[in-house]
Amino acid sequence: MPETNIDTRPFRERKPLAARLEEVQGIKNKFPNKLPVIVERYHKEKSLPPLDKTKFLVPQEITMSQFVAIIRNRMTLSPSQAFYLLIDDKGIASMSMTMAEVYDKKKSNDGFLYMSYASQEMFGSNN
Amino acid sequence: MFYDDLFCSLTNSFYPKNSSNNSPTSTLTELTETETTSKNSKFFSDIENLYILGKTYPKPIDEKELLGDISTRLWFTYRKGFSQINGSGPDSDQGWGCMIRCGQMLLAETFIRLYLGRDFKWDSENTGNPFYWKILAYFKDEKLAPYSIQQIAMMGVGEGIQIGKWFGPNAIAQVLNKLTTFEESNHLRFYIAMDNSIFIDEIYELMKTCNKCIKCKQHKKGICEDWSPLLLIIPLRLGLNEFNQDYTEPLKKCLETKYSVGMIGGKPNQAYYFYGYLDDDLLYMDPHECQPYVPNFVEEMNDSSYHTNIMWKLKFSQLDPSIALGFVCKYEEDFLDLIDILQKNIVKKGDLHSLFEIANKRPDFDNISACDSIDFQSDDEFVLI
Repeated sequence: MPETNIDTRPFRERKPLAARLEEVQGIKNKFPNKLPVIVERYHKEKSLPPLDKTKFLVPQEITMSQFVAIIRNRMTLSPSQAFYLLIDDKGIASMSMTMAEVYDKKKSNDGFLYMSYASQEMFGSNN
Repeated sequence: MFYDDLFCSLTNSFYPKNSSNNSPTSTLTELTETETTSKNSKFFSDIENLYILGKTYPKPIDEKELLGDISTRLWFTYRKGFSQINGSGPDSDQGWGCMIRCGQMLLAETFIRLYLGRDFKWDSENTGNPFYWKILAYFKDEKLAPYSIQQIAMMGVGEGIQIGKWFGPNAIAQVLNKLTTFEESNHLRFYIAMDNSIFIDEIYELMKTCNKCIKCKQHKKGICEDWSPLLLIIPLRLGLNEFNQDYTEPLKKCLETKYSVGMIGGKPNQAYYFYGYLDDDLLYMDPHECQPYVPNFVEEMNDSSYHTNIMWKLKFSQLDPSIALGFVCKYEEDFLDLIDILQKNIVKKGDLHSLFEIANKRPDFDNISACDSIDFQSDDEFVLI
């Protein structure tokens, strides 16, 4: 395997808090109507592909289901493939909520809203 | 009658011969009914809430009734010695088929509900009902049976699962759905609610579009005008690493619904078929006992290895977060009633983590897409939506 310099740590660990705060401040000044959202793959996920980008600027009024459709599209998933965007590792956000509602409830102290995506676990045993 | 209509290919071959004398063989540490009953007496008296497949057991719990209910369920397990999958593949599903077996159990329960009813009781000595044998024959470990391990494993390849690889709850539901579209002897329709969302208009659309079943050939242009039995499956992920216990109550509510056919899931790596709950425990059928393949079981009536009176329990807190819930609606009224129940008891508008949602129509996504990335004083760019 060739060595790569890609940092695979989660965004929160890659960047110190001060830098993240600064980044959110900057982006909010430039795009006051958009919400900064981080979307990362669950580290144990095997069947869904990695996303090419982790940082999204999202309109306040779109719903979770619209956002999920955008991410699904970006990964070119088939409609029958399981895909879940979880917030705080706890559960899926209600699909009819707007991004603004989710952001208000669950934004991190650095100003980003963090989401992880995963499919479903597979079940079996290796005898 | 409904029976004739649905099981149109029912033939004499599904009728069992005269009742045989073989007593249920005990491959497990199975207790006889009386032994189990006496051992469990104290246990039963401490129960607060007990639901089996949408049916509640009021106190004092009728133990005989309960054990009869459990042993009526079809219990599918690992098997060894069946005809090789795809000609040269495995002849056993031990170690990899547990979720397949759970999917079979959920589907078998669906057929039992539709064609035999919730009150049907299996009797090891005398099960003469031809519809029971028809249902069991659907799941024979033989390549021509419509929902056999061979059929499922082969169809799984189309879902990206190689033969002998593991399934998740959604994957097995998708495969069972595909197999059902090729099966003309029942009119079951699957609606698998992806993205935690049920869209009512899509279910009505599903009912209309049918061109293969015998019933619909009598209709004009392959358009179905009647309701067909619906199996609603909702695959969920209730937590990333572990089950989020905030979902315990809504899950209980789902299992309490009279339209429930249980749920498939498990604990990490071990798939179980959950058919109810008892206070803080889920009740399940365990497919992990590897039993020998039973040839020609319909004719010989040796179906005892397809039943168990063991009640396995799992704490809700140990549940793997990946599950799929099943509900069956025989008639349109059932469906409307189910939607009403789910909306009142389970869907929580404005709650961040509602178990799932119900809407009349799928929202329109036409005007939204992700446009070019923008670089903004940053080491990696934002995607602007």
